[in-house]
Amino acid sequence: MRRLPPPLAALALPIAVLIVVEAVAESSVDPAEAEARHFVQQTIDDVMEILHDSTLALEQKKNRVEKLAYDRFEFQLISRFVLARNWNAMTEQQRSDFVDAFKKHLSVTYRDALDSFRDEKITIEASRLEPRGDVTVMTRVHQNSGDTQVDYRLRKTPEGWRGIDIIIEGVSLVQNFRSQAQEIIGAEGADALIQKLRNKQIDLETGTRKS
Amino acid sequence: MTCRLPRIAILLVWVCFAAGCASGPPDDPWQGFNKPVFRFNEGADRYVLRPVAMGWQFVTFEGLRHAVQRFFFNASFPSRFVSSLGQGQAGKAADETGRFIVNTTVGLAGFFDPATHFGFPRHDEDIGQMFGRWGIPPGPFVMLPLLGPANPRDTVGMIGDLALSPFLWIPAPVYGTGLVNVVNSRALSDEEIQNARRTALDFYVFVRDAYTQNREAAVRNQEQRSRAKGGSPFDDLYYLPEEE
Repeated sequence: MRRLPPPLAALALPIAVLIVVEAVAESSVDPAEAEARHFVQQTIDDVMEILHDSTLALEQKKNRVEKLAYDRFEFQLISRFVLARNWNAMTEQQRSDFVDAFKKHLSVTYRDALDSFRDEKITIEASRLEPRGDVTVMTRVHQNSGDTQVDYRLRKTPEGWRGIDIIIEGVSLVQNFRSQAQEIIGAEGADALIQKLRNKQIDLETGTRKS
Repeated sequence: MTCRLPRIAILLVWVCFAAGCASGPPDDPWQGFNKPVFRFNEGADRYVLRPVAMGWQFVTFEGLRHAVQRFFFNASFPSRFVSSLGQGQAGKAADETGRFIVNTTVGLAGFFDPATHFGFPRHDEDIGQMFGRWGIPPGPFVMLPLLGPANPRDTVGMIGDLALSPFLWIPAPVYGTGLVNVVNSRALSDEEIQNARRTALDFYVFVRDAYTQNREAAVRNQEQRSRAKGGSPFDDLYYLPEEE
């Protein structure tokens, strides 16, 4: 074996170390990120399994997906983020009424969205570590008319990872509902907001039954 | 032949400036103008645009509607090209050029999109995003008659997009083709629009907030969303009030 000339030999070790360090840095995804990605992938797989199960009627599929969503999202936290400062000004009763009504509202909304499911493929594209140990997992839904980018913000709770926001094409659900809640509370008060949520639900449920 | 609609839109925006509509809340100073226009647009959609779009949906099949959408998207290549170059993103401009050449020829005038399978990704750039990248602020939210949610920066951007539209350069019936595009797009997004209408607690605020968030994200550029470590624009959303 030919020996390297001395100056090059002196450089060889640092370069080798550098290459190894870089390789390690690139391959090591933060463990929290890896967990969060796994959680999202698992949830996507679970939903797909339900939707592809030909022994289930559409209503049964919706019930199972709803149950899964209740499990994987932290509705108490989502409600508090949506209400922001208004939460502190509300009574215990108003708070729990809001959480219940809001949870039901989201679930009815997304049940309806399942009607238009056309076997789209979903892939995880990237993830990002956020402050307070949160992780954002970025997914792409492949559709006929172009792709849609859907990001999930996740937080590790004592019960495990839970979704705390969905960001579709840059639009955060929490931010969007916060704007609406702020407008309604500002004009009519918190009770009016809760009543609006309940009325919407009745409309949506009867609308679903009619069709 | 030029299109007169944007001129009317600009005129209205300026009338609003002059009339001093700046009386609403900080995030929507022109609310006094916007809300009546929104009600007008909702009526126009309910009684004219949506019924026409549903008729179009009835006489066409979904594959055709997607093909028509791809055709118009392909034709709006010049504005994506100029916007990418204007943002200093030559790679995107090259992707878009490749897409345009492949889809116009092999993709039969753009009705099909083989370019995506040949490895040319699409980039949804427009002139408003280029202005945003240059640091021009969007300005107050404005609801334009018939054209929908906008802001002054992106209104000027839309006029730029329109000026770059090939339908203005080739002998084509501008209003006719424009109308097909509008009706076809409305038909394709009907499910989403109806869903949003039914589930929003305040549909005007829903539209205003979704539009504003979506445009901000478009300017930031979604491709860079993963690289900006801890750079989520939403961070202050996830503090509980007690933590402050």
